[in-house]
Amino acid sequence: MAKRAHWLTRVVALMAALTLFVSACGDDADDQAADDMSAPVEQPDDSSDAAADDSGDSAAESDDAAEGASDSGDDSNDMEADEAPAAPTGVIVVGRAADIDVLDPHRATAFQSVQALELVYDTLLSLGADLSVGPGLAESWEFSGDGRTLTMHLRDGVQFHSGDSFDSGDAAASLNRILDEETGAVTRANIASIASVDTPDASTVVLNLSQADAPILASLADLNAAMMSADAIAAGTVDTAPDGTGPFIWGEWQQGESVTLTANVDHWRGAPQVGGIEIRVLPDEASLLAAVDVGEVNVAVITDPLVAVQAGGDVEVLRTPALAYHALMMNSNRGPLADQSVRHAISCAIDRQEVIDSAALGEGAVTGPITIPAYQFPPDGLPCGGQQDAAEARRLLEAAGQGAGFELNVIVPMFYASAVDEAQVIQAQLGDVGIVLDLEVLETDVYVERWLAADFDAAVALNSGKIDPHQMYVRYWTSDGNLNAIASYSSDTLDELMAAGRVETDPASRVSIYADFSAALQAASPWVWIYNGFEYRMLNGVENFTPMPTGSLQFLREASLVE
Amino acid sequence: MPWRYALVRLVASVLTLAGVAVLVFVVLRLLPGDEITSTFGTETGVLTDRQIESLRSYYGVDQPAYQQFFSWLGSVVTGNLGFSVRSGTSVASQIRDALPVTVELALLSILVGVVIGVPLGVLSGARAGTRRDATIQVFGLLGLGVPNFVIGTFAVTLFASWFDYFPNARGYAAPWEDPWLNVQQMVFPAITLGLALSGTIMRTTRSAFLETSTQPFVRTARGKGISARRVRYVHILRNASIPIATITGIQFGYLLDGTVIVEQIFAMPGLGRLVLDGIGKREYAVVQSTILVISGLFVMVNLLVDLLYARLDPRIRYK
Repeated sequence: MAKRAHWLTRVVALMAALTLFVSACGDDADDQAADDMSAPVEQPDDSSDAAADDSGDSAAESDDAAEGASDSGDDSNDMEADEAPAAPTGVIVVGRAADIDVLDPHRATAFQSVQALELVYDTLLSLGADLSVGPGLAESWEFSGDGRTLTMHLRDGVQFHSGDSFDSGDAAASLNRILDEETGAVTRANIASIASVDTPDASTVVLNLSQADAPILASLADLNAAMMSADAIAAGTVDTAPDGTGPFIWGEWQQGESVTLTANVDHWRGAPQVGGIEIRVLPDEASLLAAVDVGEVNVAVITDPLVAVQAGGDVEVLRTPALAYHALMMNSNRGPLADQSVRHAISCAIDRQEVIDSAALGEGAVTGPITIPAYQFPPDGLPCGGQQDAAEARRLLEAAGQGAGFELNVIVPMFYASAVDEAQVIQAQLGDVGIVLDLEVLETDVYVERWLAADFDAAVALNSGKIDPHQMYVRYWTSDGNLNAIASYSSDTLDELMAAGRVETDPASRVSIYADFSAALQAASPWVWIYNGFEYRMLNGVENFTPMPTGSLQFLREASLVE
Repeated sequence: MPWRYALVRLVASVLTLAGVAVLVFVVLRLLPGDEITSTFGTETGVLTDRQIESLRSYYGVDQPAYQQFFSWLGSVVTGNLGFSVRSGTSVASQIRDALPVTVELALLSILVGVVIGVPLGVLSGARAGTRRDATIQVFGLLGLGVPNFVIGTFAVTLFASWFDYFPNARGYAAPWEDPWLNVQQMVFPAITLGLALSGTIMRTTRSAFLETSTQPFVRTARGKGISARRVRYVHILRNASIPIATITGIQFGYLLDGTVIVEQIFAMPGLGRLVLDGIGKREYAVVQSTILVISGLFVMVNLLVDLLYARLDPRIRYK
């Protein structure tokens, strides 16, 4: 008996020691527990019909952005199906924290859904890795002289996974489905300039526009404008049985566990390099990282910088500057914030780099309003040159009669990991100039509801970026933009520049218009733009995968497993 | 009359579940947002009124609340437990997939908790006040105090980086598909949950043991010359078993809730995940039905524990 007790005592002591060890060492790992990121805040699209009736100017058949496209992801375009490659084998396992939520690509906004469905569906136009718009199911396209007719020439011999062939009837049905308000399609506002769709023959689609609309090309390259089969639309199966023309064929969705896709060897870009893809759900990002580390997952989508920086071992980390931007949205209709110099004072009081360093461990870069690679303008037009200047902030507050300070109610979302930390750093910085922040940390849906109602003095926000500056900001910064009430600021200058950018089809001229737009927005600084972080893709055992600033996984179609 | 007692308890259980159903329904409706805002997020702001109207009918939230309640109740009665628009399946089939995961995990955790907790409680109680007792008590406190997401995350990270071992990353395998992989996937989550449980069980065992050992029959047994070990494990433990069974039963209920976090960390598609995702997505039918099932399990286990008392202690009679 005594002997047995002795033995057990040792076991107990060992356990106690282990538990102590756990509680001491577990701290760094526990921070990321249980956060459900990648919530559906913002995804593709924009808004509004910022009226601009300059019919005459846009010159002819601009392939708008097509020039950049040819060298990007489209090298394999012309291979067509005559190559008959040996059927590829192997499965790339993609891991991510959230399960897909919607199977209808016209309604999908959550990143996880968009990124899965992008592998299954094609769009009329497509994006290169540098976000340039290039050919998709439409091989070529041209605008009429007045920019109000867009003619698209469709690729021949493309088939849906179900076997139906793709033609102009499917394209028209898909576009009309988006335009139909009954569908609840998210990108409707982006393509609302389409007055009617004509199909003169099986391989031609003509979009008759109510006004010249250069950024519609970007919208047609977005999953939310996916091409579906007219039959599937008529049968009403598009929200349960995805059937596209894309590089992978929808297989099985085991809810909460995985989605399996198989390679479409007849894809018009050529067969993928693998036999299929399995998208596996691992809800905890620390566990997800462990899964890549041990090689059970080949490509992991990580959103939390605190997890991402822990990657080591065999894991290859791809960091792509994200389009999404972290900002402090201010409500110009509320109290002291109605005064532009108060908003500028807040902008001056914030040390953006300190926010990045403290809240995101330095994972990101200070940014102005536009995060799109082709439209990079330095954030030096921000108040105080984008630098922290507490003295200037106090001076501005004093001059605005707010020297005594005031209190602001700030809503903070829980759906991305660094939000609360960002809010607290900003709280401390603004506290130094006498502005007291009352932080309200809210569950996603509560936050969204308050956000949509503009029920806040200020909001810590991670707003998704778009691939075109028009798409990205017409919704916020034009007086009839459908989120303008939330942005709570507009000006004639911004309206005019947005309108000009919409009809301008020459890429260089568009860049210069948006340079002016960015400068005007920085000068007005209705919000505080802080930084953009990274899209993290953790790889193990995969090569030839190209990440994108949108976070898209579409280049899995070119990726292969390391032998 | 155990049968009569069981019947009364059964009726009470049904009433309890009805209360749960109403409460969950009401609380869910009080939460801000609906399936549209949870699906579209801030993009809801770019939808037209007509688009929103049509989506409301698509997701079935355009009906008045009482109508939603009765149509859900109807689905409970017919057994399909409602329909998940998002996934195009009945909630019953989702629960059928998730339930075995959670029940297996809970049972294994109980096993771990009892196997660790009861012997430690006895060892601790048998030498109350000694250093051994103190050591075990510290362990119990740690088991109770260290949150299971810390233990879980630590186990995952440690085994992945030291031994390249993380079986849960391979995608969940049901015991009838791949028993060996299933066992590997269950071990760490069960230990994670079981450790916390063992703390509670240990403390309950200890105090029940101490209390029982002062009873006259123990002295009599010792006086009869029965070995100390036999007195401990047969006489005292048997008589101390009622509180242990009670606490274990209650803990089973809490386990169903503790599995939420452990299922997240270890990527197990159980009931906890189903509820959590359902709440996040505002899938009312999924949350309502799953919580109803969890509550049903809880009530059932407590009923069983009550009925078990008569087995453990023949002096107990139900009436």
